[in-house]
Parts: sequence; structure tokens; C-alpha cells
Amino acid sequence: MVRTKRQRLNLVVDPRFSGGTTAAVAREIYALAPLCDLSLTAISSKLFKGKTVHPLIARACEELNVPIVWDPATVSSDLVALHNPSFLKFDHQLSSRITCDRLFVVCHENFVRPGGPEGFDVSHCLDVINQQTLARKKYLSPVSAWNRQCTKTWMRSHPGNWEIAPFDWTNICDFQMKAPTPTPGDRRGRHSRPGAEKSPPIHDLLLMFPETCAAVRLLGADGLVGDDRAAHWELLDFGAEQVDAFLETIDFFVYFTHPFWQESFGRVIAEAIAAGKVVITSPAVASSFLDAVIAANPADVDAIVAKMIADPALYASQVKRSQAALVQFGAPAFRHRFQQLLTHTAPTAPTNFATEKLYDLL
Amino acid sequence: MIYCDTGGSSPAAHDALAVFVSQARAIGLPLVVSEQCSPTELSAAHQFDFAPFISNGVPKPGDRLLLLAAPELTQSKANDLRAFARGTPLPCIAMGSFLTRQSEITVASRLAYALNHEPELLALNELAGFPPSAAPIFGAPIAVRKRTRPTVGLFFPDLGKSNAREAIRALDLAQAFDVEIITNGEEKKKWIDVDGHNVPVWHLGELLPRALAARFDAAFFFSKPVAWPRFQMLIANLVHSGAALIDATLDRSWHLHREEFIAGPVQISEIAEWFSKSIVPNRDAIAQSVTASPLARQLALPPALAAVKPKPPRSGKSRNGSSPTVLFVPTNGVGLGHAKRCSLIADAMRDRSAPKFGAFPSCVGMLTACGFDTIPLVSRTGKKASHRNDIVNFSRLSTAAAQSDVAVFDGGYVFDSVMRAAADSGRPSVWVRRGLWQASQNNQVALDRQKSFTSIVVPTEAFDELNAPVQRGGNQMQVGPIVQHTAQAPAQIAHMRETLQARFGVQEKTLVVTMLGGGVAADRRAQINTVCAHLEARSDVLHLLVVWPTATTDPGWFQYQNTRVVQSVHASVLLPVADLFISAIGYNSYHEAIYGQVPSIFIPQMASFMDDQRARGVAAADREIAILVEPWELLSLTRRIDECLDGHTEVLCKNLRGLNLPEPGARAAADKILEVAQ
Repeated sequence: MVRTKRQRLNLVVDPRFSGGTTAAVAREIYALAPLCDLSLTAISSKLFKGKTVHPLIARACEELNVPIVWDPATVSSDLVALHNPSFLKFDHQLSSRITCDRLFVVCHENFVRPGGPEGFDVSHCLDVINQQTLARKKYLSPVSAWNRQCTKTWMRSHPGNWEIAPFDWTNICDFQMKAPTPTPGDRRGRHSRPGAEKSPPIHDLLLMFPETCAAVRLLGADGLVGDDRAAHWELLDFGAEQVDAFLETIDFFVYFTHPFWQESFGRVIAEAIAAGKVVITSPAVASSFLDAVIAANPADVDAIVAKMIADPALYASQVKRSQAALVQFGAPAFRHRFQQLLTHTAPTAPTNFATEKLYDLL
Repeated sequence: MIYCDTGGSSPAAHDALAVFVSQARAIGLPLVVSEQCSPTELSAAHQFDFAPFISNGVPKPGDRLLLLAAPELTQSKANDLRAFARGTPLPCIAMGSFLTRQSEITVASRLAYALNHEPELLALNELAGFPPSAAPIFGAPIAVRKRTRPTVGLFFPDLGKSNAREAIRALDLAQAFDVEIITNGEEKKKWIDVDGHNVPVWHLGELLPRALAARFDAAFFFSKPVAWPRFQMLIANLVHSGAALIDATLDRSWHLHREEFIAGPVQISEIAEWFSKSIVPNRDAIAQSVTASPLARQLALPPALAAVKPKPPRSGKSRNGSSPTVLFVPTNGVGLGHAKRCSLIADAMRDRSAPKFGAFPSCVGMLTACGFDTIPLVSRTGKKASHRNDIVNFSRLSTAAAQSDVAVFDGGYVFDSVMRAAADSGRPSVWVRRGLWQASQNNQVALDRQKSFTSIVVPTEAFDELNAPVQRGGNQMQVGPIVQHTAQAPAQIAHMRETLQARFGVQEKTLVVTMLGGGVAADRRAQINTVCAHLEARSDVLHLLVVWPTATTDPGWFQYQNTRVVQSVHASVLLPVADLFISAIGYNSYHEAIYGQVPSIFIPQMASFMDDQRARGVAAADREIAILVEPWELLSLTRRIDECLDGHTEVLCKNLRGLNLPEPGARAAADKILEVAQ
């Protein structure tokens, strides 16, 4: 019996990044290992010099017996998925030569910011990849609707040999769901890495987290200094608390970023939804979650919170609605989209001449 | 408001910021540095540099930010800017040399999030022949004063080279021009340790580039171009002023890249002849060529920055050009001597100028009573570092000096505030400086700072042996003793005696006036108590004990029936009526007594920072016009008081009348100051 040959998939990544991208890649390893002959190529980029491999990636590879190969001379596979090209922004070249049928560059970081300025030197990063890649097809794979929009905007002003993938390469979010609290209080919070792009201006923060709140806890508030702080906020540095423990202390996850930056996906939103919290966020971020979270402006937050506190049943139904939508980001949904992606991008046999068969020769 | 900041955090970044802001303000770009964002650790020199443009303003809509060294912007600094902006959209021009596109994107993003406005990036253009600098380099107008001879700057000569010192000493003797050395702090100290102060030596941090450039008509460069913004701005200012720029490097580091730099002699010994033959006759043509050169055009404010210059305000009421404004800054010495001397000079020019003062609190009352507008300065306090008050004073004096035609300082130690305020404002300055140093005194700083004055006026002592010879150099001038002396008619003196006696309820008393000092330099209570106690035994005496408003007094003095403690700044009016004057030997008291022919007992007050009072006392005692008593000779003091009160004052008065004294010098000093102001 001839065993069906599995696609060989090589994940190319710098596994030392500490953010949501790496956590998502770790889940991918679990999700894709049953489908493909999976391998992982680790690139030691200048961006993450001195850092160590993310423990989630290390654990996933160990458990599934996926070897991590550092900076090989060549990467040869049927499929190559290179995660987040921005990690190459300080590198002049890629040390590994990539040979594959299809290359998917997963665009975790938005190519452009709101208003059009580039988020990073996209041309440089894609050129670095291009120069070392021999592939039949090269795709840019967005991770969300907003991310797709940004990618298309960039491609319009930078025509080249990249195509946009027909389906999103979404982050896998398969957190354990927790039930919402039956007695929500005005306990608000947000969590993010401490980058300046993650934090709205002070006047918006004060609208979202006014003095009238029973409690305000901001995890990842390292970047707020001086007059950028309010006395009634509890400010915690990034990593000061485990995220699960932090989410236990709040009922409303209020998440906005600086207006000049946008999440490509927002894994923290998914974490908060899974933890049983009502999430209030910007319309752009809400669109990534199929509008299952509450889209609002900073000035609307107070009224929304008050309404939810006054009606715990409404609070609970909002949480349930959000959690139901998270199914779209689970491993099964990801695997389904992945299969669709491979089918739609598979090579097609040429039709302009007859295929010679063995019997024709006899 | 247009704020200015730097993305860098090193002392070099702060230096570039200070230099850039000072230059920009000079060409009409009113930049300020936010107090909130300014570096917390600044050297003393940088604190002075920044003082005139620190602002505690908060950004408002319509304000802007100019950011130097943008590629060095860290996230931490961006966080500080974010806290400063407090959500107000702040348009920003971010300047620097961006090595990669990613660098541009990183900086633009950080600034956008911090300032809530997408910034404009301005890549600094490279200037041929100049290493890339951290700030845009452009020339600013400098106030070049007419000089009788050109001044040549020797920039970074190798002072350790064999015969370099001898060559510079020889150059200094040249009649055709004056020479000054510009080097680093270490080399400056070495030079002064060996050669003293005959040749003025600067290090680049002593003054801002505009002030330093204004000193030179020609510059010899002995080292290759460097990326230091302070140095490059100085050169830009020299270019704009038309100074002759001479390349004295072996490999022609300047001349090969820029034709505006003339290839000159490499050996210092050849400079005198070459300069006199090649440069002096062609100065005007060189100036024209340099100011119209491509380099001058390139050393201009970048168009993006020129575009944010506000329209100049409508000019206010112009100053009356025929009446120069003279700013006097007397130091706060032990008493009011310096202020008093300045007030006498100011009085001598009152009909020809508009004198005003910047003075310490102890002097303000006396000066305003004399009718002079006075800006109060801040005294030193033990609670803050020793230069902190001087920085405040620098801010005040800078403004005052900019509104004056000449600044005059009277004191032994030249404060940084005084030196910089005059230089930065481009105004000429005069130092009224005593000549009677103590042999043990270290006057290195004072002598070093004389280089910054256009002219030095030395009020002489009444007696030749007290006058030091005038130091070789064209800018020192001696004038006669500056002393308050108005001859009073006998009737006036009698009337004043009657008034005093009526005031104190006494009749027909011998008037003894004591003025022994404020207790700052030394504790004079022992001497004062001795005088009070001794005169208490004499029923024929009214003893007026004069104290300065700031002096230390002893409650015990008030118990003596014959003694009245008089707190006054007008002690001089009491001298003509005194039958005996017991005094310290400060310049003013000494000369007032001698010129006023007042019989005196002098008790010197000696401290390390004071002039040589004992020498004055000896000069007077040798001429038998006064009695000298040492501070510890308390028994002698009582005997000499008795001698005087029992008739010896007649001998002293006779000898005083027989003296041939120099003409007082207040008018001559005033004339010189007004000449400098022109």
C-alpha cells in the first residue's frame, strides 16, 4: 500500500520574541504537526540578539519531537512559512537559502500604520527574504482583516513579485474558557507590552479609566512616566503579574492603542475573552474578532460599563457571545483554513498539451 | 512656542543642543528648552549655556518641537517627550543623519506616538570638508567690534611641540596684531602654569561660539576638522563675519576640501611675517570673498527650519543713540566699596549717559538712593551649590547687557555670569579692577578672566608704592583714585556738628567716628569694644559707631553712654565733621579720609580675599598722615586714641594738608567707559 506523502512544512522564525506572535507559532506547531512533516528553522536575527528561546516554542518542539535547527545553510521544503518578516529589519542578509514550492510570509506586524506611514522597512525585509529564496510562489499571508487591508495598501505602492494569500493565516487562540462573573463591578484594566504604540494619549486614558472606577489596573504600564500617570491607577510593569492572575482582578478589559498604531490581531483581546471578561476596544480591533467584542470610542466606555454593571445578565451574554466567536480562532478552524490555503495555492497541471502516459509509450 | 530638545543623552548631545539653540536664537528662531525635558545632570558650564533659554512652559496647540540627534532617540526619551506633550499634538522636525530607512521609521514612529503628530524628518546634509555633525551648522551674526589691531586666534596648536612656546611668545610681541590661543582645558592649564596670562588662552567651552568668534579677525587651524558642533558653529560664525581662515595643518586638511581656507604657514615662527604680508593688506578683499563664498551659502539655516521662524515683532521704541546705556555690576565685597566706587563713576557720566546697575541686595538701597535703576542680583547661599545663584544672575545680566551699550564690572573675582553676559550679548565690557593684591593671593582666575574684557580700568592708590606697574598689553589704563570727596565749607561742617549734637542730646563734644568693618572678613568686636569702653571714660567725646546695614552688631555696644550705633550707607557724610576717624583700610575709607584730610587711626582688616590693607596703612603711617595700629594691639589702640584726642590730630591734619595727591579718577574712568561704549 502506498502511503500518501505528507507535505513538508518548515516554519522559519526567530523564536526569541516574547510577544503574542511566538505564542501563536507555538500553538501552530501543535496544530500542524498532525498534518505535515513539520520542521522549525530558527534564525538568529540582530533584533533579538541576547534573548533566549520562548519557552512555549521550546516546549512545543520538545513535546512533538520537532527539531529546532539554527541558521542552516539551506532550508528545503514543500512549504515554508516565515513568521513576521519584521524580525529582519536590522539584518543585511538572510544566512539560510530557502528552496520551496510555496513561501508564505505571515505578516504579523501591520505593514502600514493608520494614515499610511510604514510600520517598518518592509521593502528591506522582503528583499532580504527574496534574495535568498527560490520558490514557485511567494505569498504575503495576512493574519486578520485589518492586517490584510494594510498589506494591500502597501502592495499598491510597492508592486513586486509578491501575491497576497487568498486566506488569512490567523493566530490560533485555543484558551480554556472561563465563565463570566455573575456580579460584575467597575473594575477595569488593560494589558499590553510596554511599547509607546500600545498606549493611548493621556486624555483618552483618563476617559477610559476615570477616578470614578472602583479599581483600575494597568499591566505593562512601564512607559507611562511623569505627567502621563494618574494617581488612582495601579500601574504594573510588563511581566509583573501572570496574565491569568491579572485578568482575575478585573471585570472589564478596556483595550485601545495609540491612534497612530493598530493591532494586527490582538491576542490579548482573545486572552481576556477566554478569561470571561467583557472586552471594549476600537472598531478596527473589534473587526478582527468578527464584531463579537464591543466596539467603542474612549468617551463611550463609561456608559457601556455602567450599563453592563446594572444588568449582569447582559454582561454574561456579552461574554458568551465573545467566547463563541473565539471558536473561529481555534486549532480546528485554523487547520481548515490552512487546508483551503494549500488547495487554492497548489500547482495546477498545464492544459495546453496532452499528458503522456506510460501506456502511450508501450 | 518652539521647543528644542535632543534625542541623545550624552554630554556631547547636551553641548550640541546648547550651541544650536544659542545660534538659532541669534538669527530670530526663538527656541526654548523645556525644564521638564532638560537633562538633570549638567556640568556647570552647560548650566550657564542653557540658562537663558530654559522654559517651564507646557505645550499648547500651535507649539512645535525641534529635535536634534533624532537617530539617537531611545524609547525612554520618547516616553519623557510623551509625558511632556500630555496628549497635545506637537508637530516636530526631527534632525539627524539617518543611516537606514529602518532608522527613519523607528524614529518617526516613536515621535508620532509620543507627540501625537507625525513628525517631519530632516536629514542633515553633509558639508564637504566637514565631518558630519549632530546638529545643523549655520552661521549667526556676531557683533564684531572695531579693533585697532586685528586679533588672531591660534586654534589647537601643538603646544607641546619643540619651540612652540617660544614662537607664540614671540608672536605675542608682534606689533601688527594680537594673538590668542584656543585649546582644550588641560593644555590651557599647562600653558598658564608656565607662561602665565600674557597670551590670553581659551578653551572652547568658556564661551558660546558667537561670543568667541566675535573676538577674532583671523583664525589659524592647526588640527584637522572634527565633528564637534561647537567648533563647527564657531567656524560658521567666522565665515559669516568674513574672518580670514588659515589652514596651518601639515596635510592641508581644510584647504584641500574648501578653497575658503587659505593655506598658511605650518610653523608658528613664520606666522608673523606671513600674516603681515599676505593677510593684513588684503583683509577687506578676504572678508568679501569669504562672506560671498559657497561655504557661507551652505552654512545657512536649513530651509525647513527657516520656514518655522516667526515673523519678527514690530520693533519697539528705539533707544536714544546719543545717550549710551551703561550697565554697572559691582560685586558684593565686604562692605559697599565696589558699589560705592561704581556709583561715583556713574555719577561722573550721568550727564552723558544712562547708567543702570545690577547689584546684590546689600547694595541696592544705596544705589537706588543715589538715583540709579538697579536690577537685584541673587546672593550665594550655603544651601545650594556655589554657582547656582550665579546662573540666575547670568539670566538677569544677559537681558540687561543686551539692552546696554557697555557692561562694567567692579570686583576682584570675575563671576561667570559677568564674563558671559557681556560676551554673549556682543557688548564691549570694562573691568574696574583694583591693583593692590596681597603677595600671597592666588589671583589666577581673575587674571585669566581679564582676557574677556575690552578694557581694564585700574583706579590707582594715592601713593606710588601701592600701585603695581601696568601689565603689558594695550587694554589696561590707570586712573586716579576714585574717591568721594566734596569740599565742604566750614559753615556747613559746623551746621552738621550742631545737628548731630542736637540729635544725640550732647553739646560741644569731640566727634569720633568708628568704621571698622562688617564682621565678614574678621571679627572686629574686640577692637570695637576696646574703643567703646575707652571712650566711655572720656566725658568730652561723642562716639558714632557706624555699621553697614548687613553688618554683625553686638548688643553690648548699646550700653555705652558715649557711643551711638549708627546704621547707615551714607557714612561718607560723617567724615568731614569727624575730629578723629577710626577705620579699617578699605580703598574707599582710606582715600576718603586722606582726600578729606580727616585725622585717622587705621586698623587693617586682612583676609585672603581682600586687598593689602596693611600696605595702605604703612604708606599713611610712613607719611605721618595717619596712625597704623595692628588689630591685636588693643592697648596701643587706647594710647593712640588718647594721643589723638589730646592734640596729635593737629599734626596729622597739618601733614594731610601738605600732601600732593593725584587727581581723582572717577571722571577719567567714566570717559574711558564711554569711549569703549562707542
